[in-house]
Amino acid sequence: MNLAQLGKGKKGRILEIRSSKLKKALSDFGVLPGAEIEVTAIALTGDPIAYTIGELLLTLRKQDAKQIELDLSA
Amino acid sequence: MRKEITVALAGKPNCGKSTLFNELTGLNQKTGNFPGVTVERKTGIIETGEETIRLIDLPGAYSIFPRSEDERITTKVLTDPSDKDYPDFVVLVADATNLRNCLLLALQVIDLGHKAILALNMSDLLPGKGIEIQSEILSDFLGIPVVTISGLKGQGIKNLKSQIQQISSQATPERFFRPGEKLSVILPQIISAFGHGKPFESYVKWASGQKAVEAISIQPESDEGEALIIGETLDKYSLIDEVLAKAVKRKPLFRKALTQKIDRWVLHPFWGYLIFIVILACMFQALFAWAEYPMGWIDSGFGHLGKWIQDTLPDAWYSR
Repeated sequence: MNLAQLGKGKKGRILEIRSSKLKKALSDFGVLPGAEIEVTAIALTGDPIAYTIGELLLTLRKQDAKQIELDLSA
Repeated sequence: MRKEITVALAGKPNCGKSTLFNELTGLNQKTGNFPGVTVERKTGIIETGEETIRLIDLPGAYSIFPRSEDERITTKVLTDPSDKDYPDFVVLVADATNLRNCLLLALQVIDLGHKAILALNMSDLLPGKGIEIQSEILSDFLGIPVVTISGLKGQGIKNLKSQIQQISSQATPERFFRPGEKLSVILPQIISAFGHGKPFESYVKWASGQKAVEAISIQPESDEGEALIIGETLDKYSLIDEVLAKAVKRKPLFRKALTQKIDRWVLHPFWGYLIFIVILACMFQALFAWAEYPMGWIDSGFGHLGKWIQDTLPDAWYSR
């Protein structure tokens, strides 16, 4: 399951970030595999989507969110 | 001649650098409550007893590896000793309420060999958020002084100013740069390609693509190069998480922060747009309809004033 498919208020853990460009950008914010991520708000059109990771509020385009693979078991 | 020293303000976007800059210099540079207001370096002068301090306000950056033009300026000033604004001292400005992603740049600047101080800004907001920071632990870990300030309220500014004036003469060693196995292999190539600068400085120049060097076996834009850079950044974050676990205590808050309460409405997919349209409609209405009244008052006010002056002044050529 990827991050774009997660519903509002739902949580997951980042398993893998597939695009290396996105991975590099997110590493500057300290967002790495293993981090817990929650859907905070979704725009009316469904894109972009705002997430909370720890103290960080991060807004991603749906296209980028699709690159992030999630683990829901934890 | 008076001694002149150059001091740079560096920190992530929207952590209050420009507010602090104005507070320190007494200037009135534009600040805004959104990131990216400062897109070029700005300079201010502080005169103290013995010296002149040139204060440089740098564009905000999360990391020394730039992703935009304004971040490129920050990287250039901090890594190029021949740049006219290359600082003698760096004030690292951090948002105390969200310390974690302020510290990456701090570790990088220290690794570049800059003498620095960490200013925990917005510290007046900490009690309201239930956050307690033990600055001695941070200071021991970073190897630089840590002061708590509030740029907006002007708290701790005197202390910061006096700290800037008593710059310690010792340069900080590269405390946090721990190249992994793969990076260690190419690091000697990088160091020799980028002059004989310090290892971390050379590494930053290589990683930010300041000059393409064929002789280095891994290019920074390649998958392998990117993996190395990401790895080095994440290594720094694991050091950051380790120290934050010791230095920052959070009390659970029972009430939600005010911004969260507001966000619940203004970010709502239906109410958010409705609030937006109502605000815009009010502004339109204010400009085109309600403004008629004060405009009328000004108009008739000047009419009355003119008539009063004409009546009051003695009859002469200028009152006809």
